[in-house]
This record gives sequence, structure tokens and C-alpha cells, in this order.
Amino acid sequence: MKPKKPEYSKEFKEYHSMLFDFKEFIEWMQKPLRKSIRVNSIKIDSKRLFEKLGWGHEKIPWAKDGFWVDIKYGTGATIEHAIGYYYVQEASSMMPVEALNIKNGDMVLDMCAAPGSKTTQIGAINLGGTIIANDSNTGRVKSLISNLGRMGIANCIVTKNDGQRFRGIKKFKEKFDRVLVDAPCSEVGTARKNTDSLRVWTPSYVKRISALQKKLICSGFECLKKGGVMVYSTCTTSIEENEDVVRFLLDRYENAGTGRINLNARYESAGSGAARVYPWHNDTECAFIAKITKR
Amino acid sequence: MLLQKLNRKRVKEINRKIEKRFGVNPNFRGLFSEGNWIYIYTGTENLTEISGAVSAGLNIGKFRDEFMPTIEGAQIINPEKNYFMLKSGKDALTWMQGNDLSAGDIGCEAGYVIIKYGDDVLGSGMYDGRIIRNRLAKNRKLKM
Repeated sequence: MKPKKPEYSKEFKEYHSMLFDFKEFIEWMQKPLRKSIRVNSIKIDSKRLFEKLGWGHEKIPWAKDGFWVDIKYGTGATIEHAIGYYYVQEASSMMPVEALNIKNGDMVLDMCAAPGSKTTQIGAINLGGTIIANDSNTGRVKSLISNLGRMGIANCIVTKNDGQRFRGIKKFKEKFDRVLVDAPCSEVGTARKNTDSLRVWTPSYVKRISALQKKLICSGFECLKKGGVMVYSTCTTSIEENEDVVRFLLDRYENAGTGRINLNARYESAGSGAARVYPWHNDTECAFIAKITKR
Repeated sequence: MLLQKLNRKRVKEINRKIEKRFGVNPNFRGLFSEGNWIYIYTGTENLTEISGAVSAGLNIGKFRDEFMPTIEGAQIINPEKNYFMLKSGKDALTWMQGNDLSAGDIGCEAGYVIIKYGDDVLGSGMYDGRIIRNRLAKNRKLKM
């Protein structure tokens, strides 16, 4: 069956035609997304897992335990999934944690953590440290806790705080070696899964969410130790939600700098060392990843 | 968060109960409880000092008179006795969908038994000498 052409507004088309070849973008949005999983190295190694699953697979070059799998449906409907041997995670969503360069033993804050794909990815690297995984939404916190349990992560504390207010918590000031702000966004980049995000996109929503993202990135930065690394990421395309947010932080804090993203993937440089990932780069969803340092 | 740190005596009691039932002493340390649920927390931060904390660590089981391991608790324990080895993938699927097992005499004492299929540990159930009642958490049951 031929995929349905996604619906979008005139404003959406005009805005995005300035960013890239819009026709090509819409063509990519109609291509099915490759299924990918991340093997949970806490419980099993990839060789043993694929012997059990019997799925054809290909290593995702930028993600330590990431694999594309040759299966169209039911990636989450297996015993191996239920007992926590793997996590169904989109390939580009594995990039922000890889860019964080976490060392075992680090104190890590995942500020917008639910449902936990990136937190559990951090957990598999950082067995000897502590992770604070936060989300502000009660329902989403429940799925975060459930996923942390399934993946067998014992060193994580789940908090339910408004991310913007983290900076006001004295205990967290300059506390973390690594901070991940995977911000809520307009989710244009996820349209290969669900094209609704294109249909509902409006400049006014982008403006509103950008204001929130600026508060979140500042809050995250204030929790970051001197010499630490923060990654700011989204799965969307708007400049107001990406480059403008990073620029806002750099203008506001004299001790903020940027680091170079160094992943084994194709992407477009978005200035200040940040990366923009489009579907035509690696056959994934879209992503924006910026690395922030603190002097 | 209502997690309470368990004192050494209580932790020792849990380790001893597990060893008696499953033949392995997991040497758990740093255990916490919330009601009857037992959690293991291996982070370095003091839990009581974290603002807005709603959960921490890994839920390994429920402890009243006996210890009922969750899937993760059962995987960590990896028992040497009082476990039931499933014979086929079909049985494993039946179990993971949340069904009880008509096991008959399986050579285990009545009480909690850990379910295995090959080298996979699939949680635990309550054995009454005839049937193993499924004790998987609702959110861990396989929906097909």
C-alpha cells in the first residue's frame, strides 16, 4: 500500500522550504522508518540476543549497542523485550547520549527523561555513578519508572519536578558531570512514524515551546559542574527550537562554550559545533544535537 | 518518596530467606523498602536529600514472610533450587502472557518458585503443589 501524503499547512511549507529541499523532505516522510533496537548490555550481549531472536540485523555505527533489525512489526512483542534484553529505540534518538561522552561513575542529570529511552541508555554506560531522571508529567513518570525497572537499572533516582525550576534547587547547583536536556519540541522529525506533527505545526506553537526550551537549557546549565558537558537535543527542525535556544544560552552565560559533536554518522553542521540530522543523512528521523561546555 | 533504608538485620534476614528458598545468597546490600516492596539502590547520592524524588533503584521483590522476586529480582538471584524449567517456547509465551501453569508435581516445595526457560529467567509464581500461579506485574505481561 502506498503511504498517504502527509498533510501540512502553507506556513509549514514556506518555513521549511527555507531550510532544505521541501519536496525531498516530504518524500522521506512517506518512507517507512527502519526498525531499531538497543541491546541492554546490563542483561545480555548482542550475539546471544540475536541468536535468540533470529532477526537479521545491522550495527548502527554511532551507537554502542544499537542495531537496525529486519522486522516490520512486533519489535516490542517478544519475551526478550518483556524481560528487558532490549529497548526499541529509534536510531537517531541514540545520538544525544553518545555525544555526552559519559564516563562510568559520573553524576548525570536527564532533565526531560520520560519515557526513558535515553535514561536507560545512560544507565547501561554509567553503572558506577548516579543518574537523576526527571520529568514533570505524572503519567510519563510512570512509564519512565517501568522502563528503568525492565532494563534493570539500580542507580537511578526518578524525580518529578518542573525542569525549569531545577536551577532553583540548591542541592543540584553545579552538581552534575553530565546533563542531558532532550527538550519537549514540535516533533517534526518524528513524522515518519506519525505525520500529525506536520499537520499541527504552527509558528505560534514554535514560539511558545522555544520560550520553554530556553528556560530548560538555562536550568540544565546551572546544574552542570565546571568542566562538565551538557547536550541539548530535540527531534525537530525549527531554528527557534534549536540554534536560537543554544545562542540564547551562550549570550546569557559568559562561562558557556560549545563542543564539537563527533559521531560516526552523517549530519549537517548547524554552527557552534552542533549537528542537524535529516532523514537523508542516515535513513533515520530528524535530530538536533548541541554540546555545551562550562568553564 | 516513601523509600526507607533497611537496617543490616533486615537485609541479612532477606538474604538468608532467599538463600534458604532458592539456594543462592545474593548478598544484597543497600536495600530499601516501600511497604512490602524491596528495592536495591546502587547510586552514590543520599536518597533523602533529593528534591521531588518519587522512585529510586530497582524493584527486586516483595517480602512478607516469604520473598517473591520480580523478574529483575529473579534474574539477579538466578536460583539453584525451587525453580521450574519450562520445556518449550510455547510454555514460555503462555507464562509471559500472564497465565498460570498446571505443573503437577515438579519436585519443588510449595511457595514461590522462579520460572526459567533455557538460560532466561522469567520471574516468579506461587506453587501450591499442583499449579504455579502467575505473579508477573501487569505491565510486564506480554500482550500479543
